[in-house]
Amino acid sequence: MKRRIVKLNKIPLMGWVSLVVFVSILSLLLLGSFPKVKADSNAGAPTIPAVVATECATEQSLPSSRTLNPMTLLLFTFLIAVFLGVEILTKVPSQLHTPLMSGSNAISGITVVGACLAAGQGRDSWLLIGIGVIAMICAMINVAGGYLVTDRMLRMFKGKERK
Amino acid sequence: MNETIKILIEVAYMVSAVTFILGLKMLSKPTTAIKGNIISGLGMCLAIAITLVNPVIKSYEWIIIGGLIGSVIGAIAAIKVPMTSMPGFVAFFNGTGGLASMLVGWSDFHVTYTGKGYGAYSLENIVLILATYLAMLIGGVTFSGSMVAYAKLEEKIQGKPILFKGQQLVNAIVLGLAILIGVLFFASPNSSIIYPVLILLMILANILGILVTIPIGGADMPVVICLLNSYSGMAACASGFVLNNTVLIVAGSLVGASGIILTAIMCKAMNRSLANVLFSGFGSSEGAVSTSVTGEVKALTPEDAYFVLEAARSVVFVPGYGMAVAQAQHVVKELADLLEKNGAEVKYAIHPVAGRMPGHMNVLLAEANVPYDQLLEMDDINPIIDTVDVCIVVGANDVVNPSAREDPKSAIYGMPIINVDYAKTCFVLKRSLASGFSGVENPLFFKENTRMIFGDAKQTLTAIINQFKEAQE
Repeated sequence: MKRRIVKLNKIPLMGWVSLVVFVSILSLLLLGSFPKVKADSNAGAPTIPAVVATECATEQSLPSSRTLNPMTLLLFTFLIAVFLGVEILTKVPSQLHTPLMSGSNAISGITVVGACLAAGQGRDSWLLIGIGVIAMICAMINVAGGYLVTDRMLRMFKGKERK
Repeated sequence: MNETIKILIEVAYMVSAVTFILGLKMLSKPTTAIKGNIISGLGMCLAIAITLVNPVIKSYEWIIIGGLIGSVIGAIAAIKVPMTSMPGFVAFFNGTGGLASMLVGWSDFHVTYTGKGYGAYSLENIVLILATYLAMLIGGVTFSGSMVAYAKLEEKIQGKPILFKGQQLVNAIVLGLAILIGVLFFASPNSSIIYPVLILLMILANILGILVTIPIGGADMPVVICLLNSYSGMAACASGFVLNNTVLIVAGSLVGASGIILTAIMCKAMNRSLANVLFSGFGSSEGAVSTSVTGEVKALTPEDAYFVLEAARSVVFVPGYGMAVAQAQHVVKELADLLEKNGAEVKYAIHPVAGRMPGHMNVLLAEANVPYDQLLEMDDINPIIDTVDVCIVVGANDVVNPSAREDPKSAIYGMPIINVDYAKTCFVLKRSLASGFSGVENPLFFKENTRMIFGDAKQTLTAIINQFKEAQE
């Protein structure tokens, strides 16, 4: 019971830090979606109010702080995530080094998202299909193998009270 | 409608990014680790599921075929692999992730190059070109490097450092070529020679991965595995920049950072710099010139060892890679149980770089049902080691070598060790007096309070256990 309380105490701090990442991605989203609305209106969608279109146009033309490049936000997100990774993991007990390594290894299988996009483009080129399928196989080996091995390993770790 | 789906996808990616962060955080505490892994696994499922609703995806058959094959291979490997092969398989899984990132980079390059081509040098395009290049390079290095590490750990090729004349020069040439290709790609990304040149880049990346991993062997393996783990994260991160995908960037950089931290911890535990680990081919060369040790070796039979242990009030086991080789973790646990029944306090002292991957000994002892609160880290055991009656060194050598503390001329001088020689008595279970991976002689064997018990660790321990059992009857 006591351990639970300690655990809950730590989460708010974590929550704050992840909130930063949240907000940065969210702002990226919002900023990223504005030009797209404008592009749609250019393509001939009359439903979009002219006000929005002009607002976007003025926003683009002004060199103010509101015209943030989405790529800078991606780079910003990247930096925050690196620092976050360093912060989370500076004090790891050595007994958890292997599961941590294998668990983070499984997370690096996130490239499966890219593999999905590569394999599902529905293009005719066999080269692209081949690349996509191999990428998909490899990424899924990484994901499935990584998570299952980590789980199997962690289940062997037992505290005295659970014996 | 399309916009709604896009926002939905991004929100789902955010949620899975947060699960990865929480998962990693929880993985770093023993009590929450299992849950942490499951949470990050759920995040992964969410990320995959939401990617499939992306309108960019036109056909599903290849995704399903590839996904199924991969999952089945991964799952079977994960369930079937014996715990002793764990370091190898972690490296293997790591390598496949690297290959996937490389291929994602290639695929996007193919589409852009054969399609609309790379645009003018805006920030977006500069990042895109750089990220495509890095995804191919780092992904390739991760793949081949991990596969070599896998082969070494599974002893499919010799585990010793492989060195040849002019190795550094060859490495430098390959790396130089790879950088040259990067400059070329950046200068004219749409030029007609770029496609074959990038194919060459991927080949070079794979060669580079092999070249930098083969000269590293034995006890330096934990560092390399951590580093490759970090690389696979960076490769995923680079492919995230290629696809402008937030979850790839966040997850990739988290893994990259965690791998770097583990690498730093490992290097610190050996008191060596990363460059020294990567380029020195440690333990293979003439480097190990230390003052030769003389003295009397006092051997002990398992019977005599039993009498000492029977009287001991506190016993500390110090496992090393030899325990993994001899598969002695179960007999260690059996002996520990008998000692505890006899009234002794039993602990395990684990050096951060003992074994062939970070935390290797912890996994093996956990497999033998040793509760994790009996496992002590080096910094916790050293202050109290002089109160310990018997230290039993099971297949460890360099991590308990006192010359790291006493002999400034020794190759391992300065490396933090477990001071087993400060214990009242120290048993060393070993086949012979041969030196460890570092090639440094171990004066521990000749100390006043050291007793050598020669022979296979498993057999020796079994003999001691039998003595205990006989005495009980």
